[in-house]
Amino acid sequence: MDNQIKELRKSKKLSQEALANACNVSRQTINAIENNKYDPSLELAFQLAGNLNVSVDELFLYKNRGNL
Amino acid sequence: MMKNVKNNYVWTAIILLSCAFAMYTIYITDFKDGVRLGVTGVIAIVLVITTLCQLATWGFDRQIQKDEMGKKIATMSAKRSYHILTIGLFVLWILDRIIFVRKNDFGNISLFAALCLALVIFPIVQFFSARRYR
Repeated sequence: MDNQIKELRKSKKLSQEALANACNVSRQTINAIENNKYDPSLELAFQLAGNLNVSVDELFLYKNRGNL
Repeated sequence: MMKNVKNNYVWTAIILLSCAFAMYTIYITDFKDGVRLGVTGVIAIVLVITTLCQLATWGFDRQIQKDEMGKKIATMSAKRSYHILTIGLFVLWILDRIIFVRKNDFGNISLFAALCLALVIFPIVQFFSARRYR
């Protein structure tokens, strides 16, 4: 799942640490999400979107591999 | 804050590694002198290895361990450990039969019981966990 966290975070001049503190997670978790190594839970996705002032579907882009 | 955590991490790693080195040196010397390693010695080695692995994985920042990614890592590791442990028990049970030439059907009873328990415990726990979502 692709996401825009890094771009939006940088545009708001937030550090990974600051965003992590705002979402009550560790900096490593934010780093893993930004690098597409970890997909966050729905709750964390909403928290991230809220803290970056965007909606969840703007923040995350689901790559549908489809069955057809 | 971060610097303190890093400093604590480095110091504890140095102390632990020194303890481990000292301990292993004593054990090797004892082994060379013909002194056998006792239960306490083995437990000490296991404890040092466990602590070092925990420290290498999580460091001192408890938040990483407690947040959702940390919990996912722990859950995934627990599942893999369970599979490795079950296979390990099976291998040990077979080796025990071969090495000690067991005459009875079950081989080492305690090992066999542990293997059966390991095999049966997962579906039972899974059954009760699945009931929560019905």
